[in-house]
Formats: sequence, C-alpha cells, structure tokens
Amino acid sequence: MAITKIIFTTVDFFYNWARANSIWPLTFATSCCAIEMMSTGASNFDMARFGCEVYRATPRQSDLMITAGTITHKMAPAMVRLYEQMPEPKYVIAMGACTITGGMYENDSYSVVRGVDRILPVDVYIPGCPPRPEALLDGIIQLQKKMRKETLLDRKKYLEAHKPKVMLPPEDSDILHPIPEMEIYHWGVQQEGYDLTKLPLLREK
Amino acid sequence: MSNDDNNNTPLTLKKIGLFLKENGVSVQPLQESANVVETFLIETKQLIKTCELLKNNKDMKFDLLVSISGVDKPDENSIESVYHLFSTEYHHKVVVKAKAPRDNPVVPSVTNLWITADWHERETFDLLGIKYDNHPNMKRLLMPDDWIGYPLRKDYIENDERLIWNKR
Repeated sequence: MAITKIIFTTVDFFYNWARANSIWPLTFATSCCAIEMMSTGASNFDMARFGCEVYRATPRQSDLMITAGTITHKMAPAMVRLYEQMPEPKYVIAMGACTITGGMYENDSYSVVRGVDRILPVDVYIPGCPPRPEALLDGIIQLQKKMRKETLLDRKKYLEAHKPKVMLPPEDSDILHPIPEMEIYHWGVQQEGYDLTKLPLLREK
Repeated sequence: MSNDDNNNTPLTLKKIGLFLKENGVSVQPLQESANVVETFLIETKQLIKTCELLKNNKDMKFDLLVSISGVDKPDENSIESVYHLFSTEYHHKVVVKAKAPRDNPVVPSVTNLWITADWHERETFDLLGIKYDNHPNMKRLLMPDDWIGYPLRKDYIENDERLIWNKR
C-alpha cells in the first residue's frame, strides 16, 4: 500500500506538471469578457508565459472552458453540450459577474441564467465586470495550483464532482433539467437569514 | 422638448399623410417625434397597401426599412406595430403605426416588400407576441423555441420551467 502511494505520488507529480503547464482553453466566449480574454491571449499580457498556451476551436482538444460572458437560457443547452464534448479531465473558469451570479441581470431579467454554476461545476471564479487580464491570469494560476494538488487515486471523486448539474434535454425540447440528487450550492447575496456558519462551503472542502 | 409646446395645437396631416389620404388610406395623424418625423396611425387592413404606396411611388421611394418595433398598451387593450421608414433618395423619414387587439394580435407581414422585415418581425413576435401574417418563418428569434409567454408584455409572469435555475 505504501509503495503504491509512493509510486503514485511520483507519477502524479509529473502527470500534473505536464497537465498544468499546457492548459488548452476552448474558444468559447459570449460577450464583452471575450475582449479581455482575447487581450489576455495577445502579446501584451501573453497567457502563454504561464503555460496556458493555445485556444482550441473544438471542444475535443481542450481542457479548460472559460465561460467569458453572459449565458442566456437559449445559449445554455449549447454550452452544456460543449462541456460534455470535452475530454476528461476538464475544468471551468467562471469569468465575470454574469457567470458568477448573473451580474447586472440578476434582479429581473427573463433571459439570463443566474450564474453558470447552476448548470456546470465551476473550479475558479473571477469577479469583475469584466475582469482585467491580470485577474484572468491570476485565475489561471489558481487553477494550475488546484491541478497540481490532484491525484490519480481520486479519479472517481473527480468524475463525480465534474458532472454537469443539469441533464441534456431530449431531442425535441430545449429545457435542461437539474439533476435532483445533486445539491446545488448557491452563493446567495439576497436571501435573508443566511446562516453562513451552518452553510457547507464548497471552497473549504 | 418641442413636443410639449405642440400639445395644444391640433394635429394636421403633412406631405406624406396627405399623399396617403389622396390615395384612399385612412390616416390618423399622431404627435410627431421631435417635431421632425411624420407619424401616423393607419388601419391594419390597409398596412400592405400603405407600404406598397410608400415604397413604389416615385415621390416617396421609402426603400429602407429602419426598424420594426412593438408597443404594448394594456390600457387601450391593444398592441401597436411600429414601422420606421427612410428614403435613401429623398432623405425623408416616416413612422407608421398599426394597431392590433391585445388578445390575438395579427398584423400582415411586410417581408415581401422589405426583406429586412424578416428578423425584425421575428423579434417583435418573440418579445411581444404579435403574429405576422404570411411571414415565411414565424419562429422565436432570441428566446428558446419552446419558451412560455412574451417577456416584454406589461403583464408578463415568469412561469417558464427553466426559471427554476434562478431560484435561491
């Protein structure tokens, strides 16, 4: 048992080192955060310095989805489809206020999904409207730190945590249904009487 | 605003309104927007006739449809479809409005005259529920196809199944 752990630690180190230093994000951007994302990729900020090299135009070749921009109810099924097409292991960065809580559409919009974490498992949240390229770089570095801590032994746990939180619809409908057994954690800002001490915080786990 | 000054003066038809009246369209002048653009209400039955006159007559030549929008008026129990037209030859503008009852708003489509009308009418249908007769593809444009309700109506209640995502 001890020997397997030692072997796995060594394998994990190199495996994670290789993975974390060549993240390939998906070219997926829906609104103004995309401009900052493009700027991050361009020469002034140069995301490649941190090993987040190249935007792929197909989900089949990418590890990371940066949801840059407002997600509407019409876009949501397409986004879930793209996420499911990405190969494991896959990660999601929620970039900007719209993808964290709905942002300025939070109160009475009819068309905007209030935060992308309602439908996808999010690894890193980057606040801002839109966030500066430095913030996106910081988010990517945080994600790399997270990736370096993972181990192959936790693969089952990983797969469980990285399921989409909704089911894809049948062919004739657009409606996505939440998975009932999966509890969705909300970082509520409006509900009163929120006892933060009793709330299971995802980040502390 | 110049509109406030004009409130007491009776509304009269000007060049384009008189032209339509001569050709047998019943025109009701409305308050002009910013005192520049002629605005009038016509009967929904005569919409196609009016638009054909405005587009094809050699003195009018409204060859550009700027926008189609809609106005929901629950007090009058009606929905208006608003057409902004512009002539690239004479550089004059006009606003034409057509009313429809609120419970079943049907307005003839003008896609045969201006192809631009296609998406404008789909958007107006999507958000206000005005059904355009003879439109080639009368489907929702911005919301999902099976969305319930028309979001920009004054009495819209959010009751779509998808909105359970938004509950806290």
